[in-house]
Amino acid sequence: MKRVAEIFLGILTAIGGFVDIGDLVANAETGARFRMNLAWVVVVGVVGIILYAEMSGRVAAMSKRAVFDLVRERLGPGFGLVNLVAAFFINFLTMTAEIAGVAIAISLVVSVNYIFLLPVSGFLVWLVIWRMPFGAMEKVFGLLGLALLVFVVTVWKLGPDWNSVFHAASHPHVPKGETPFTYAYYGIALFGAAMTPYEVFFFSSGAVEEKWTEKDLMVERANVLIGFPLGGLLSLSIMLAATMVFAPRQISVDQLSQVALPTAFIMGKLGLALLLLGIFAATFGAALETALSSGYTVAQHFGWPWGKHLRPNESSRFHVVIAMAILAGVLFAASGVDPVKVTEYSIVLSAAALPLTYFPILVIANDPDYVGEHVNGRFTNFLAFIYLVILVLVAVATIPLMIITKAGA
Amino acid sequence: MAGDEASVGGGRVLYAGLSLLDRQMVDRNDKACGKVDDLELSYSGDTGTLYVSALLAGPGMLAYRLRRRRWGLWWQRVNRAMWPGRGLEAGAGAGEVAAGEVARRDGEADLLDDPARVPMSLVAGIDNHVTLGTDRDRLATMSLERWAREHITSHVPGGAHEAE
Repeated sequence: MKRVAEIFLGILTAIGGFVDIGDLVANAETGARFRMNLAWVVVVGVVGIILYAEMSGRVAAMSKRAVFDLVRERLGPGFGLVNLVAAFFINFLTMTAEIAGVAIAISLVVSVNYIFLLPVSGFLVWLVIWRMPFGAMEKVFGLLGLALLVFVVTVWKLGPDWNSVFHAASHPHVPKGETPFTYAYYGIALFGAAMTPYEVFFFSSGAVEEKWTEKDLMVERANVLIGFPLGGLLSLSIMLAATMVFAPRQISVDQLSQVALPTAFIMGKLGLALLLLGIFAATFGAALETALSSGYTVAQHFGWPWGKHLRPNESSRFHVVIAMAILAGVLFAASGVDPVKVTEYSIVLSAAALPLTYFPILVIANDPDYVGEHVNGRFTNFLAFIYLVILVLVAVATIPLMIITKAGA
Repeated sequence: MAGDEASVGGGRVLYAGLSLLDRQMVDRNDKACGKVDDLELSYSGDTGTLYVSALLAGPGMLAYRLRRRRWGLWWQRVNRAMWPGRGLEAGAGAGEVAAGEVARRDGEADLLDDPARVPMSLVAGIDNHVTLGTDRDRLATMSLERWAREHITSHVPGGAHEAE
């Protein structure tokens, strides 16, 4: 019974924690511009993150080692270091966007320009990392993130003609006024938002933090296999809401606050309140995850003691890296960069760097030295290999597409 | 670098480059204390083979291995300047630590004297990580960690407590 409760709680947390600022922005933007013509990318991305998150969780539970810990071992110190720099930089962009997202969510309530709230947002993120235990942190923000389910209610109240929604989503085409290049560019953005590397850094480090063992594999699989697809449905409901409210009015999404419009429009104050809570929890949770990931990646590359299960004094360098990353993120966000642009760049560049993260996971998940008898099955390997090919193609195409489309303009 | 340590008396055959290099090191209390950044190889006159005589880790070692020798040496010098008394004796430049040349100084007592050398006699186990039979506070690889603790985290309220 206890196990059932644990699984159920895990699934809820996985749903609430699935969406972050990248998903919010990418789904709302693409819904407004491409209607449901890019919905299939979300499905492809969710299957990909399920595959690789499950592998990284399994590796962590069996070997007690987190992903980035193993990257250097497998790729060598030179390539490992290049990977570290790339991962740290992209993660930094994502963290900056999430911290700004938190500040924007607060600013919508208190009506103060979000720039002034950035220090508050950064400080809160640091404080939670410094003081709150890992398990509680994950549960609180995962569960509060469930408030985003008002998007599902919004869509339901909008009452779409489901037949035509499914027809549109399953017969994708490049809409009028868009080129195949912008279509591909935003497809990559959606893909990057669903498969952001920090999710596996965090997921596998979290498994080590919570001391998962072989016994926890079932819980892990349930979280991933049930929680992530439901999180994906939540992403799609954001896209559908934007399709129904923004697309007919030719409104393009270029501010985070606009993401809240369909719900405010349909559901009034209560809906808006829930939505703001959801956006706050989702961005705050992801800010914690990305800030921690900046510490995880560096500490794991150099073999330093790391983790929230240790006292800060026992993992001093880890905490110093995190605090400095947060400070730098706050300063960067306060310099006046457009948070939506930072989000876009972070998810698109994530897409370009995906093979760096996911290739080592695939290799290690097949190595009995790390996972014992729980090596990948043939079907998993087949799918994972196909995804690796997709990841490489995406990585190669990203930068040229960015140049051709002038970053999706 | 991948000289296999031939089995003596039916031991496991390991490829040093694969099973040692870049592996996580943990101390005898299972606490992380750096990665194996490089290996020191010695020549045994008795058997006529090369063997791994020490694990090299810590300040500057990784940069040194990645052919950023100047940077690695600089980092070692900074390290020695910050922790005087623990540095290499004058004249013994860190360059000599590279594979091949050996200054035999086994034993726990001088671990802190040499920022980058853990003799193989201190290796207690080789698994998917390397377990050392010593305490990590005795290792020079942890000097920056100690510095960060003494100067930064211990001054922030809550640093000494587990999160609650």
